[in-house]
Amino acid sequence: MPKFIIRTNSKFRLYWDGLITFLAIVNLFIIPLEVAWIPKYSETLSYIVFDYIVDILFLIDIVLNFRTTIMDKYG
Amino acid sequence: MVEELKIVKIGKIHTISRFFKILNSLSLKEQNKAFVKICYYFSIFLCYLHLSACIWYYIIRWHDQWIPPFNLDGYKYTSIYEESMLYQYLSSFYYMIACFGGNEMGPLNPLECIYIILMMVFAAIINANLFGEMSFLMTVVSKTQMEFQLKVDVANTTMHNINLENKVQEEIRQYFRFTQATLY
Repeated sequence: MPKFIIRTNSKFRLYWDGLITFLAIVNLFIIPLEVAWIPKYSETLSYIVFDYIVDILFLIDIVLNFRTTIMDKYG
Repeated sequence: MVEELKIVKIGKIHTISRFFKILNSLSLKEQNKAFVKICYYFSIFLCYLHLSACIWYYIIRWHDQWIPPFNLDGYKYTSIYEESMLYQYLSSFYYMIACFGGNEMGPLNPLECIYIILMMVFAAIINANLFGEMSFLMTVVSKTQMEFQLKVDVANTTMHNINLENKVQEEIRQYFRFTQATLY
């Protein structure tokens, strides 16, 4: 296996997919609230930092997707 | 305008489709997987309602004209635009559920009309697909129970027909219950 390649059925990939799915659901709830109501908590430092961390994790997910194996018809 | 651009981040929602990949890699019984899928579809339904409630509130805030149907009592006054965020969110969510059921929303301008029309059409499609899928999954969840009941019914009928002793009948029924309880 070449270096820095992740197996699609590895434990790390499973946990990472779980984390990304969870963050996507959290984003799905928070972003429409932020756009419609512009709540006060969206201007606090902790929320802005959380928002940037989530964006960075999604960027890392894009990179990891390029370094993950896929299952073809030969397994 | 910057706040509106943040809606582009909703594009990440496609990653939710990885849920099925995660579910397939877990070693669960078929019934448990079906139950988890039911919970997943129900939460997708709640997400749809949440998204439509937020869009509805965003649209009505443009003109501050819309009056909730429960305030249409002759005075045509509503305090919804001065209430707390929680009250406004719950009202929007409530009316989106009402819209899902095809109830009157009282749109007052073309944009509100177009949105309600689209929501009602989507609601009909989602109603058919989502709840059809959930009812199929419910039959999968109860499949084992139905098969067990069928076996017990056949056994009971046979035992009655061959006039087996009551004590032996009860032992056979206990055997069925024990094997069902320890089935994996």
